[in-house]
Amino acid sequence: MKGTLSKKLLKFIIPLFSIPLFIMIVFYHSFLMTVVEKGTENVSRDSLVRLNSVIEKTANSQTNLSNYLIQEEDFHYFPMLTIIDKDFNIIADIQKINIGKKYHKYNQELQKYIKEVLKSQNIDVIHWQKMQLMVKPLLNSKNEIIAFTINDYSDFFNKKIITIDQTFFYILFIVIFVIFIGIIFTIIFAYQITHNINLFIDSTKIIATGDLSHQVNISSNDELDILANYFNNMVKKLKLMDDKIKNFNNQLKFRIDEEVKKNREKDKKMIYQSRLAQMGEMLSMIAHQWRQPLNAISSTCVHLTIKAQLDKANSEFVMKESENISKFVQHLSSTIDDFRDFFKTNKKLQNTNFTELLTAVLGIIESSVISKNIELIKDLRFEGKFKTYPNEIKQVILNLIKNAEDILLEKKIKKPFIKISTFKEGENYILEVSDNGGGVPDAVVEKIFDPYFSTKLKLDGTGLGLYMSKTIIEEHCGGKITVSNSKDGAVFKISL
Amino acid sequence: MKKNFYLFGVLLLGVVIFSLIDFNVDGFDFLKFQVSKYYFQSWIAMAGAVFSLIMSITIFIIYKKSDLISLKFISISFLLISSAYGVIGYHTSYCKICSDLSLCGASHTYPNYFIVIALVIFVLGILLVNLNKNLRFLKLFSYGLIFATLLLMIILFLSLEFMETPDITNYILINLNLQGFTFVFPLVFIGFAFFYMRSIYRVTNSIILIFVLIFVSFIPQAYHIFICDECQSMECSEFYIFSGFLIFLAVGLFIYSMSLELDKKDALE
Ligand SMILES: Nc1ncnc2c1ncn2[C@@H]1O[C@H](COP(=O)(O)OP(=O)(O)OP(=O)(O)O)[C@@H](O)[C@H]1O
Ligand SMILES: [Mg+2]
Repeated sequence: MKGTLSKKLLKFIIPLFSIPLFIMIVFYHSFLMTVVEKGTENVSRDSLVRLNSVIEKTANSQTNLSNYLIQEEDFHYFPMLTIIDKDFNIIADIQKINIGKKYHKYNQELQKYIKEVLKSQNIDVIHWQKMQLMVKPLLNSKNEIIAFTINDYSDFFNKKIITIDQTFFYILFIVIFVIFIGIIFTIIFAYQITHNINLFIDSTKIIATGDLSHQVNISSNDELDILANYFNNMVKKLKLMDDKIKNFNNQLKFRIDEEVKKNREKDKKMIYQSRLAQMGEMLSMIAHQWRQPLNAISSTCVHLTIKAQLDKANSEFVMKESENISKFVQHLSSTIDDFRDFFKTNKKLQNTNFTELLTAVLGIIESSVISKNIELIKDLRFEGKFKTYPNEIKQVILNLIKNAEDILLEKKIKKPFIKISTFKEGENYILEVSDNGGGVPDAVVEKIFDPYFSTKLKLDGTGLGLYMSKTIIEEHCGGKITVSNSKDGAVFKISL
Repeated sequence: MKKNFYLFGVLLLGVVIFSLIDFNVDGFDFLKFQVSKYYFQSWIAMAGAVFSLIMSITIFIIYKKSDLISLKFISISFLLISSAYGVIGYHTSYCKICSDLSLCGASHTYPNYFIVIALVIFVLGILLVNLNKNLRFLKLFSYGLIFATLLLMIILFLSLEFMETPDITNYILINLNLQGFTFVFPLVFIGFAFFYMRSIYRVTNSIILIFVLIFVSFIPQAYHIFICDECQSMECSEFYIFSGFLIFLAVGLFIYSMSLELDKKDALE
């Protein structure tokens, strides 16, 4: 029998029926004892009457009493009898005779007396009780005592006890057999219970694997049956719910897909938007960038015109000036190249360093920053090469510088500066853009990387700059971008 | 298993031979029906006969419904034990010497219950193993067992009213009655079968218990027949060895059906 349930049942049930049986045995034993005692008394009364008639007969016919008694088969049962007369002379010494308790009172007195007499004859009686000695008077027809019988009935008594023991043994056998049958029944019972429970467990195992169409099949007409019914109902409902959830899930999935699609479109739009904004900004930067070479070109042209009007424009001079012009034009076109490069997204990792990146960015933005009287401090302590996507990083740097410029202008800081520093921190390459614009207010510091978060309502901020930067650094380049406030202002830290 | 049953046949022949060698009935007339006095031991034997008969019928019904061959042999085993108890019961109902509970009758009636118990355990085992998905037969078996046990208890308790308890007889115990081999040969057979089975199959605790029970049941019977002078000189031992013969057959069938079951188990594994 496997399982602890059946063992528990056995442990419970076996004492339950063996203890009452044991008690029953004890009662039976005491009952047997009383029965035996009663039986003994009855038998002895009968035989005493017979003994009286025997004595009378022998008194009349003068036959030997002892001989007569030995012939009587009825006394077969009772061993050892001594008959004495009133003067304690032994009349007869018989091996088999009856006893009784009727003359109990006489007995005790007589026993005392006989004990003394026996002692005087140097016969030692050690223990009356143990010897089961019994003394009874024998009466004649006139009810006079003519003799006494002294009987050691211990042998007889032992025999009766043996019978009791054996009957007791017999009952014990019954009890043991019944206990055995009880154990068998308990096993059957336990098996019947655990059988259904095991069926149940098997079914639940199947259901647990996800087969909700499975049903528990138990026909036991008991609580387990009810349980199985409820369980089946539960599983049915679960199945309904499961179906609903599946349905719902499908709908949800569909909706999410749609939303994701929408979001992607939105994102696309967003990127497009921010690019447009950036382009606008950059155009204004390019305007700054171009101002100086354009001025130079125009002044060269003026110079050329004047010289030509004065007829002093020799070919040497024209050559020199046109060379100057073409130099300026080259500068212009290189600015345009930079600008164009900016929006080419390069899918390939390229070997580069921070200096290269900064040169490209500053090529576009430097003039515009300087024209606003903002000092640009470069602190480049790390010149090593590494692999990254240069155009994307450029966009981020541009964004950060632009943000710093914005805040410096907005707050009208005196002696404004933007500091760009690069260094190595452990395994990471760090580029920091800091300013003295007073920093990001604590209330918004959590949100500045969120899309569409901007404090620049008047300036038409889209709020996408930092969001895009974060996306680029963290999702494309596998780096990190964080912000902190120094005593002067905000410090944006890119770590690659 | 075949070897085992050749041995069984030889030993059975030995039983017949040895019981004929020491055949001694002191002029007892087997054809004359003895007047029953319902002495002590006859009640136990009677209860055993009724119990075994009911179990035999129950198991036969289960066999008819389930088609388990091994149950057929168990049913016959029970029937043989029932008749063996019948023989003992008849003898102890009139024989004052045998039925005083101290030696002769008691050394046959009680031990045979061990075999009954072993059979019941075995049948339960068969039902639990084979009818895994069917509780119907288990129920039938338990009804049979309840009925048989009830009858047994009724008989035994009634017996307290009606039985005669004769005096203790002082037996003369020094004797060598070769008919005692009736109970020794089964011991040999069982021992051989056990070790043979253990070498072939995986023997579980319950099978060991069954073997021990059968083994134990034969020892007091053999002892009594070997040494009891009264039984030797009178017709008592002839009754006992006839019952022993029947029980030997029953045990043979029992072992056979057990080997069938173990074979099947092996095939499953
Ligand atoms: N250097 C800085 N010092 C203080 N606050 C800053 C700084 N850089 C950004 N911020 C704050 O973070 C906000 C979000 O910046 P983000 O670049 O995402 O958008 P924006 O600059 O407002 O708009 P856009 O970039 O389109 O012009 C800004 O509105 C500003 O409040
Ligand atoms: Mg910005």
